[in-house]
Amino acid sequence: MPDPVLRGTLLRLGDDVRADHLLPPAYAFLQDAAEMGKYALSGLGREWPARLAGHSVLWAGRNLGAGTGREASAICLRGAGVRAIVAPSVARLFFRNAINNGILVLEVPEAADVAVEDGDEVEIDLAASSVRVRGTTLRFPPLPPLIQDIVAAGGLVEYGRRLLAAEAG
Amino acid sequence: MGATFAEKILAQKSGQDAVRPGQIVELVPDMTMSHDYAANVIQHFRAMGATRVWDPERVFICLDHKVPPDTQEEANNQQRIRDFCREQGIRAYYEGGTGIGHQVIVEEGYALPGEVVVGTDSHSCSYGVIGAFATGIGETEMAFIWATGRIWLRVPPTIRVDLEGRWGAGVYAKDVMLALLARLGIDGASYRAVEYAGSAAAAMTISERFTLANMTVEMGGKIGVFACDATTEGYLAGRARRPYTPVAADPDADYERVVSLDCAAIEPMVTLPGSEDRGVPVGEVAGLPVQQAFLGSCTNARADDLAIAARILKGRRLHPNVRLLVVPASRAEGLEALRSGDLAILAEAGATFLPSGCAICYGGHQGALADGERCISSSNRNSTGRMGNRNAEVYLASPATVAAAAVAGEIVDPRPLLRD
Repeated sequence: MPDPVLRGTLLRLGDDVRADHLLPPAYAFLQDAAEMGKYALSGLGREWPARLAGHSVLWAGRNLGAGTGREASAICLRGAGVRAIVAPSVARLFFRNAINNGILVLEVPEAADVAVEDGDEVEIDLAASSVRVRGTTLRFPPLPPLIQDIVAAGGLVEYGRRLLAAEAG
Repeated sequence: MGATFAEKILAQKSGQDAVRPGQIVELVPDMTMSHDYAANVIQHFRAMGATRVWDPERVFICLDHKVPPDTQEEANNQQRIRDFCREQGIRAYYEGGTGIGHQVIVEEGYALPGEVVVGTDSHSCSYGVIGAFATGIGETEMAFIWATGRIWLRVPPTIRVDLEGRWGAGVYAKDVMLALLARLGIDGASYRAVEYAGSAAAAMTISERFTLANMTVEMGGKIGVFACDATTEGYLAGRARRPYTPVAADPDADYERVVSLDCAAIEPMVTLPGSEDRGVPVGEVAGLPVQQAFLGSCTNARADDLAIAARILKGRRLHPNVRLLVVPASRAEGLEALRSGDLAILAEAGATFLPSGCAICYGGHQGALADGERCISSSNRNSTGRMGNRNAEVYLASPATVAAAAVAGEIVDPRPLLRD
């Protein structure tokens, strides 16, 4: 099971931030997550990677990550230290790619109603299915166990490695 | 209550009598697709400790993103893919230049009706054109499938789009799709299966259906499917690599939403930059100068699309301020356009031909825009920076509207040029 309580500070994103904005194609062929992480969010502008630094939660608007299914768009976030995403809605392929890279993705419709600011402390309690920010507690539908297991393993590569090892042993 | 296409096929493939939207099922995909990103898939595959692909006959790879490669690194990436295919006995490997992967997998008969096909590209939804349950996944997920043969999928709710009537002269399937996107919005079908139905859908050719299935992801759709019918079977005769059993939605299936579109009311459309749902009738942007016209992509660059462009460009030259890039969706489609004389017409008009691949559609290869430029494109996406420059704009349109702009030097209604 993933850590029941995850704490971090947030960076806000607006609505409809595309997968191409999370990581432009020019950086998609870089070798590893740490390298890609240096360019995370740079599709929004050159100043964004620095704005992200130090925050482990992305508090996004609607429809995060639509468009290209390139996994680099999720890998760069992992490389930049993002551990969780909270958004009213998330595009389906990006959802899968983020989970598969060990990032918790919580679709919380009421997230749009809370007036958060960059740097706000966020507390995510998976066991209670709750997100706490600015003194407000929001609830979300529990993530299916399989998805929680993939995130707890740190992503699908590790989940797959353990599965194959168990099936071979 | 009957089952939708998605419910029926996912129930069958996961060994259940029935499934409902929201339920998670596990199944073995019938076919998997990849392209240049297979180099990443291979890396994750090995990192999982996997050594043998579960079924090499269910792997299709066609290089299309860097065709030909620009750098040593890109070339080495492609070499790794070739080596892996040899090592694993993967026979369905198609070299760069064969075409865009989504076009080739369908024209080579590897994606079939009633099958679950997943690909490492968001436009894998295209294979819904021939009645497959087809959707995009990431590279790590594909590595997991290659290693274990398994994938989990959440059963989607379904939106049925009833297309009725017939569009007028100078209006095309692309205009219908741009109008539908404007109506539903970029997340109007988020996580949904979209079934295209109605008399207009039934009357569409495979190429026309391809355009709609392809851009379903632009509305957030998981799959975009046309029922397998006589048109589908005619297309697949002599082409299908395996026997297939179509799956059809039940007449009393439960749709979350039904959207009706009167095709006769649709005009030539242009989708404004920044978002794929900003479609407007062409008249609203007529007169806007463009510098690049792109006739390519898996959406609209088949022989019929090239023929439409040739009709407009015949006997005409490009406007001096416009560069026209032409990328046939595959070598086979390009050959058809070559033999029909259409490629010669485009060449005589001043077109520049690029290798059959994704080219600048995704911003990574051949045809980047300069600051302040506008490109009118037959492709599928136009968010800021999509063609390699945040300071340029991409307008989406049909091949006719693209060709008309290439002649006029500005966005114009294509219909007068078609009447000549």
